[in-house]
Amino acid sequence: MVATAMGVVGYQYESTQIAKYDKAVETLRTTHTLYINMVNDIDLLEQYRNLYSGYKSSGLIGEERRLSWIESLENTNKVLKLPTLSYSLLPQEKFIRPGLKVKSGVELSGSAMELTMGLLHEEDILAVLEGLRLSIKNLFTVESCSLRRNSKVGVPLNTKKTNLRSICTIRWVTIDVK
Amino acid sequence: MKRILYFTGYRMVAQEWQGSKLGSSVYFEPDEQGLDLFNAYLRSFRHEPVRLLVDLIEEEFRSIKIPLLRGSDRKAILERNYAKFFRNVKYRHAISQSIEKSTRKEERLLLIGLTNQLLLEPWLNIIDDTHTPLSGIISLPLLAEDFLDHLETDSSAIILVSQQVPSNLRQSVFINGRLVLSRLVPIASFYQGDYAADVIRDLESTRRYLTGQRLIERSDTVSIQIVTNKRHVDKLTIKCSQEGIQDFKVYDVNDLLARENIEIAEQQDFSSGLFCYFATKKLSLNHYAQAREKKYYRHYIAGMALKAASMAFFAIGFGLMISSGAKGWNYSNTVTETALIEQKYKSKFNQLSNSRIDSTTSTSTMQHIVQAVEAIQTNYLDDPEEMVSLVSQDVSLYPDIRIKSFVWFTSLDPNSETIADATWGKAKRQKKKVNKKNKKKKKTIKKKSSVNSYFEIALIEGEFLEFDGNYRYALSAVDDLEKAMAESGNYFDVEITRRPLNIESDNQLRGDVSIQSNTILPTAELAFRVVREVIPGE
Repeated sequence: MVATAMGVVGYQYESTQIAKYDKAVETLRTTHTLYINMVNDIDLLEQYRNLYSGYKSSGLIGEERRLSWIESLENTNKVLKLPTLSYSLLPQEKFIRPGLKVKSGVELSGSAMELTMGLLHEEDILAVLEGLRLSIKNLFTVESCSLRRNSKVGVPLNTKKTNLRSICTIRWVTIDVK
Repeated sequence: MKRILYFTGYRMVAQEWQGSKLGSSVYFEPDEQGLDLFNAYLRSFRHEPVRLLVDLIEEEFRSIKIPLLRGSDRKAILERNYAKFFRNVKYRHAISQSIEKSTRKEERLLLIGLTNQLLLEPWLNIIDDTHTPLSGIISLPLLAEDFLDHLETDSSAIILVSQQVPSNLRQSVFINGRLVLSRLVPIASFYQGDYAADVIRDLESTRRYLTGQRLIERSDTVSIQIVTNKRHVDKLTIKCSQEGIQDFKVYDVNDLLARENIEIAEQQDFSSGLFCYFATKKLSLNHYAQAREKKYYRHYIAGMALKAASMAFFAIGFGLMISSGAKGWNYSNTVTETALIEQKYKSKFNQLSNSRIDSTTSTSTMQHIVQAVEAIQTNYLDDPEEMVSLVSQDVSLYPDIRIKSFVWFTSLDPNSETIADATWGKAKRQKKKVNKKNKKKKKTIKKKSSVNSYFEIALIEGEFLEFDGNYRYALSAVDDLEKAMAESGNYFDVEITRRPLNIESDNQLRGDVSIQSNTILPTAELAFRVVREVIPGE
């Protein structure tokens, strides 16, 4: 009886300690996983923090900065001095492109801006787009552009008046974090 | 401590041995007082086992041969021989000595029996009354077989002479190390008289008996080994020499005791101490005790076994407890160490957590945003520059063609006709509508495109510079342009949508070739549509 009791007591003590050990190991594993995730997060954070901060400060992330876009357009034309440059900004809508998939929690939006331009030379259209890209660190994609001569074919271009008419639609992209 | 009861046929001697040392020796006379004392003595060490060594005149030895049998057949033959030699003898025993092969296998047995059991009964009754565990009743002559190894002789036939009490001389005969006969004869000259002559006379008598029984041949040399007291050693030695005994040896019992490291306080005249010591050395030995006499010894053994089992169980239980305790302790230590490590990890985790700059946006979200921006920058920031460059390069091969209008747009559907048709999600539906609407008029692009691709489409209008009316040339140039662009590999699709002169059969064609009309300059206009496939990631 005494021997059995001793055996049982010993076994129960061992079982209790094993249960505590298992629990402790599980807790340690959980904590370690949290720690490793945090370390990985920190690494990723280091990797993406600067880019993310840049996007956020430039307005790519968050609310649209339409005024900044218009100001950029004005600044661009101050340099190019196009005879006519008008714009029309349409309501914001979802930005969709084939094969472009974003993870949950991130939403891409786009606002179409129609630019109507009177150009002296056909290369002005590319200069406008390049000027916009340089003046603001926002993303926009060109969806369409038309270019039409005002005069007949063969007539030389006049350097003091509009020779070409152009209508371009660009789409400003913004990112929302849910 | 081992307890030996030594019975000589008259008195009982109780000896207590501690290893090879005789602790005490108590004598009990066979009268009422002696029996009472024996009773009290046994009760004093109740439940401790004893063994009884008997050295009696009334002990007989019969050497017989029986067929080699086993089980009940052997038992039946033994019973017949017991009935023949030891009828009505309670204490009898058979010892197998050898197996002989002649015409059939035979077993040589030595039957021994105590012919006067009444001598033992009062003592055995007391042993039984006091519940003393009796492990066995041992025959002294048989026990003497173990003593042969200590004698200085190589002879196969030995007569061992010893004296355990003053009045009797024991002669035991051994052939090939096995007891065949033992006699206890009265001798009166131990203290007074010619003891040596009496011994030699008795030895001669025994020898004649052996020859008569054909146990030995007359010519055989029999080794005489005499164990006696110091006083008789010289006398016996001289007498043996005088009698012409060739092989003999006389031992002083005290020398033998000393040689065996047996500690007995007083000088010994007799060999009883020597044989009692040999009786203690045996782990288990019994010749005469039957089940009834050994009843309490079995109880004792059972009790010991139970104690041993209990001890074993206790030891196992204790061992298990200690083992489990040690394991548990190790686990406990490990738990403590684990908790410390966990605390360190938690501390580091908290430090890292506090050092995080942007706590509102998760790192994974930042990662997704950066990846999305990179994807857009890499794959979707289109502009017309490349298409303008390609088309200009192709058209420049025909210097008399000038571009009037250039319309560029992107679409998911390669069949989009205008900017208004461009789609980014409903392409298939619109494509079907367009196809249905323009089923007969328009060409539908059916080339297979990549899964995630989309298209840059350019609609170009142009005119031949200083056209002289040579439509054949203009049409040929347009065809060449179409062919050159299609074969360049730069485009997904090339289609001439308007030619300088519509000469196809299913169209109406009007013109003026009069002389007057020559004052109006002819024109040659063309329009074409080119499509480029854009595959994100390439």
